[in-house]
Amino acid sequence: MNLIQLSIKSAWNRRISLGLTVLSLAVSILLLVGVDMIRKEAKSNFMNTISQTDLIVGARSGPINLLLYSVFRLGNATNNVSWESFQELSNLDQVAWSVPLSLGDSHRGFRVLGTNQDYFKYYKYASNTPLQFDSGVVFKGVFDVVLGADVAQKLDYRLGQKIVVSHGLASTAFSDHDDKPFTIVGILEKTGTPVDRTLHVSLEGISAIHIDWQSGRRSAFEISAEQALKMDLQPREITAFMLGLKKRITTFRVQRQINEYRQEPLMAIIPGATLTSLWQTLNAFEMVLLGISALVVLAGLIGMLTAIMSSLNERRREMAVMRALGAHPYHIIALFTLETLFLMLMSIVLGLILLYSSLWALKPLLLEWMGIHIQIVWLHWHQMMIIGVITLIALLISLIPGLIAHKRSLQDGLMIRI
Amino acid sequence: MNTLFSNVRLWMLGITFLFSLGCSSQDQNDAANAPPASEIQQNTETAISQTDTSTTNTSSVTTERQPGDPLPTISSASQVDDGYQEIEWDALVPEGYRAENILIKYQDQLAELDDSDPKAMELFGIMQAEMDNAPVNEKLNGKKVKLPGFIAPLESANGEISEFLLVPYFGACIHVPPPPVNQTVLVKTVADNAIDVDKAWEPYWIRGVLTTDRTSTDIGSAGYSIAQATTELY
Repeated sequence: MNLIQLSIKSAWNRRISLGLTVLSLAVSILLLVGVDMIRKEAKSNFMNTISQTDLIVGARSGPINLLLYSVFRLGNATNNVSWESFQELSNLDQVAWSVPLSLGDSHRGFRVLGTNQDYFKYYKYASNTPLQFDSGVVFKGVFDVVLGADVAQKLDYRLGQKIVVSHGLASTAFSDHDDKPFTIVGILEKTGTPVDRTLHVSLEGISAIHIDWQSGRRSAFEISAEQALKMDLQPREITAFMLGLKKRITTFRVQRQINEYRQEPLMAIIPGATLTSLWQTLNAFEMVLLGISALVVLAGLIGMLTAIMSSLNERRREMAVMRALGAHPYHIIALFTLETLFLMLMSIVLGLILLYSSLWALKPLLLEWMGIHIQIVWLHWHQMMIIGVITLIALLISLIPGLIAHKRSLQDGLMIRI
Repeated sequence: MNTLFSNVRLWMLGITFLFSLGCSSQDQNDAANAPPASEIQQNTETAISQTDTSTTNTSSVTTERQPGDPLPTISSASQVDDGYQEIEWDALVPEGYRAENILIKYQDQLAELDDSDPKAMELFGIMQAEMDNAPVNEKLNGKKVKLPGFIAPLESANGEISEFLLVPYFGACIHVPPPPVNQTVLVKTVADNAIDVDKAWEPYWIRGVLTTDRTSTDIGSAGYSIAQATTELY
C-alpha cells in the first residue's frame, strides 16, 4: 500500500472533523478569491464609465467634483456655464464634437439630464461602446424623455407613458412640474454606468420646466405646456459639456486654453486621468477588504492546523504501528503533508464551486444593488497565484504536526498508557 | 538520528524553496509592491547599469515627487536595447530648432511694449501659438524607440490604462503649462501590457515604433504616436 492510499484511508477515518476543516477553508478561499474578483470587476466597471470623451468642461471647482456631477451624477455643480462660452469653445479649431449637459432636476430619486441628440451618438463607455436603445428612439420633441435601463425597470415604465419631472433633487418632491408631463419615447439598454439611472430630456425640455420658476418658487402665472412651447426655449446656460477632439495629442493644449479662458472661469478635465485619481482615493477601501479576506484565510489555515494537531493523540498508535512495520520517519512527515495537500485540493475545488455558483446566483443582484456588472470568467493568473501561495503555506504548516509525530519515539505509541 | 534530521531538513528546505519561489513570482506582479520591479528590470536590462541605481532612487521617493519634477537624468543616451533605441525627449525636437529663436524673433517688438499692454498679451499669445506649433523630428518616423516618461490616462480596458499621453514631466497635465505637442506622445499599449490604475503616476519606459503624424498641419497638431507599445516601470 503506498503512502497516498494510506493517507486517504487514514483521512477517511477522520472524515467528519476533516470535512469541517475543508468546508471552513473552502469558505475562506471563496471569500478571498471572490473579493479579489469583485474588486477587479468593480475597478473595470468604474474605469469603463466614460470613454472616447477627451475633455469635460464645467464651472471652476475641483476635477473630481466636476467628474462626479457630470459623469456619475453625484453631488451638485457649483455653477453653470453660459451658453455663449459653450458655443465659443465648441467652435475651437481642435474640437470635433461637443455635447452639452444640464443637470439639477430629478424624477423620483433619479437624476434628469438635459442634453441634445448628440449625446446618444458621442457618449461612449467601456472602450468605445455606444449607447443602444432597448426600445424606442432618441427624443425629438421638447416634452420627450429617454430613460436609462434602471429607471424603466425600477419604476416599471413603458414606452408612451407620461411622467412628471421634479424641480430639485428630492425623491418625493413637493414641487412637481405636474403641469408639463413628459412622454417616454425611448428606453436604453443596460450599460452598468450611471446612464442607467438617468432620465434624458432635451435642453429645451429643461428650459420649459423652469419657465415659471424664475423667482425660485413657482410663479403665480401658471404656464401650460402649450404656452411654454411657444416661448423662447433656447437655454441660457448649461451645467457642463463634453468635448471630443480631432486629435487626442492636442488634449493638453485645449485643456490649457479652456482653463485660461478669460470670459468665464471654466475648468476642463481629462476624464481618464480624473477617473484614475478618483479610483486611487477609493483604492484604500478595497485593500482593507482584501486584507480582511486574507486574515480569514489565515484563520482557516490555523483551523486546519488545529484539526490535525488534535488528531495527533488519536493517531499515536497508528504512527507507532507504521514505524514498527518499518516506515521511515520521513514517511510520517510525508503522510501529514499529503493529507494537507488533499485537504487543500478539496477546499480549493469546493471553494471554486461555491464561488462560481454564488457568482452565478448573485450576478443579477450585484448589478441591481451595486451597479457592478460581473463577468463570469475563469481565474486570473493573479488569483491562481493566490491559491498557490495558500496551498504552499498550508504545506509548510503541515510540517509542524509531522515533525511532532516524527519526534515522538517509537515506544511512545506502542506502550499502553492508562 | 543524524540522517533522520538531515532528511527532515531536506524536506523543509524543499518546501521552503517552493514557497519562496511562489512568493517572489507573485510579488513581481503585485500591485502594492514597488521594489521587486527593479528585479524585473535587472533581469531585462542588465545592459544599462545606470538605470538600475536611479530606479531604486525613484521608487523610494515616489511619494515625495512634486509636480514639475523632471525624470532623473540618464547619462547613457542612445543605448540600444533589444532593437529599441533609447532616446531622450530632446531628440523629439528637430535638430537646429530652438524655442529661444521665437523669443529672439519677437524681442524687439516686446521691448517696445509695457507688460500690462494688451498688445503685449496678444504678442505672448502669438508666441505661445508658435511654440505649440513646434515641428516634429521627421527622422524619428518609423524608428523603434524606448522612451521614459509619465502618463496621463485617456482610455482603459478591463480596468487597466490602455491609452495615454506620455510626457516628460510629472504633473504636466495640471500644474504647469502643458508640454508642446512635440514633447507629447500618444501611446496605445498592446493588450496584455496595459498600465495598472494603481500605479498610474509612476514613470514608465515605453517601447514601440514611433510614428510622426502630419495629416492635419493646418491646426498644428502634427505629433508623435506609438501604437502597440510595451510598458515597463521605470
